[in-house]
Amino acid sequence: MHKYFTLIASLPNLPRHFDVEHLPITRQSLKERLEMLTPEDRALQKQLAEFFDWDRQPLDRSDNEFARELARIETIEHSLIRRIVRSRMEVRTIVSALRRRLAGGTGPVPVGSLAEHIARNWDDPTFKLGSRLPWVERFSSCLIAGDTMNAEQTLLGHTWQAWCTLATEFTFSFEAVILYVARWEILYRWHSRNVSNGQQRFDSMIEETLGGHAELQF
Amino acid sequence: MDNLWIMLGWAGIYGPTALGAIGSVIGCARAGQAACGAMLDVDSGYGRLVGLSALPSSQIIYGIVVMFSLNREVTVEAAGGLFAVGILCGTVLLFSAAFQGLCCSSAIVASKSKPEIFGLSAAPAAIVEGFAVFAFIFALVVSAGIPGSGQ
Repeated sequence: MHKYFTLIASLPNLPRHFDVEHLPITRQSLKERLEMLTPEDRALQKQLAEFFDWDRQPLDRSDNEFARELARIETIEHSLIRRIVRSRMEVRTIVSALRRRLAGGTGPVPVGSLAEHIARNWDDPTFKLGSRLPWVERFSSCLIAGDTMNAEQTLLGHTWQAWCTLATEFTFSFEAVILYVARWEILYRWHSRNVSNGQQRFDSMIEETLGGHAELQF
Repeated sequence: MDNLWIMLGWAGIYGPTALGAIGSVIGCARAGQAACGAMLDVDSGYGRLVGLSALPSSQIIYGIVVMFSLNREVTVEAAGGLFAVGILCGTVLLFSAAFQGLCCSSAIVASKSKPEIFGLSAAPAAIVEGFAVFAFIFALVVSAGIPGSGQ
């Protein structure tokens, strides 16, 4: 298996926590560094990147399309990538089910390995997953309280910890690169959220200052 | 049959140098690649990164010294001892250099953003070096007992 001493050493160390103000490396720089991957590994890494993009899928995508996309991704012949995909799918399935239940829905989206278990335990506050996945209870209570900020933080914190723990098993391998990119995506998501918050705050300040003049078009 | 023993004897003499060189190549290549990568991420301290990446080169020096200590007329009586000491010492040097390269790579990654731990991060590489030194010293000691050492 190919080792990536130069690539791993060229990537800035990631912070201990994901809620940082600045990204350790920009998307463009990361993309340039990933050019050091072999063509085969680069293709696999791109598949993973597509998964992360797919994670932010368009809202009008149907469940069947969703299931087809998942089946396609699960054909990837790399154990760690499959593990990451399945883990992310678990999280997305649980989050989706909690949101549907909160909105008065009747059952989970019938996609993924957890769907059946959730359907069986639909009335349980944590779908009887609380002992195996402690974050579900906290996430659920944040969601019910309408505290989306803490809910998001709980979710990302859980994923961040999972990837950090897994990353200790790999040093200069392709797996280490994958886990770096996976954790960088979490940083990016959190950072993007802060940027959008800043944008909203800026807009509201402009409105407060300028009043009706803020709506003027030139 | 004698020719085979003679060949093994020569392999034992040259083994520490050859295997030590292979180990140093692997170790220095690994650590060197890490040093090059780290240079992309830091703005200073390049010299010590390169210095650390050269640490696995010491094994080839040990190999050369052991080769000189084993170098003698190769006879059937001496061949077994030469082969055993030379190849085993060379194998230790190979593995120690290769794995020392990993230690150096990790030290480079760890210390690039925390220069204050540079010395401490190099400690695992120094410990690995210590095992190579053990094999080297005792190869010299044992080689004195192989027939033909007084020539």
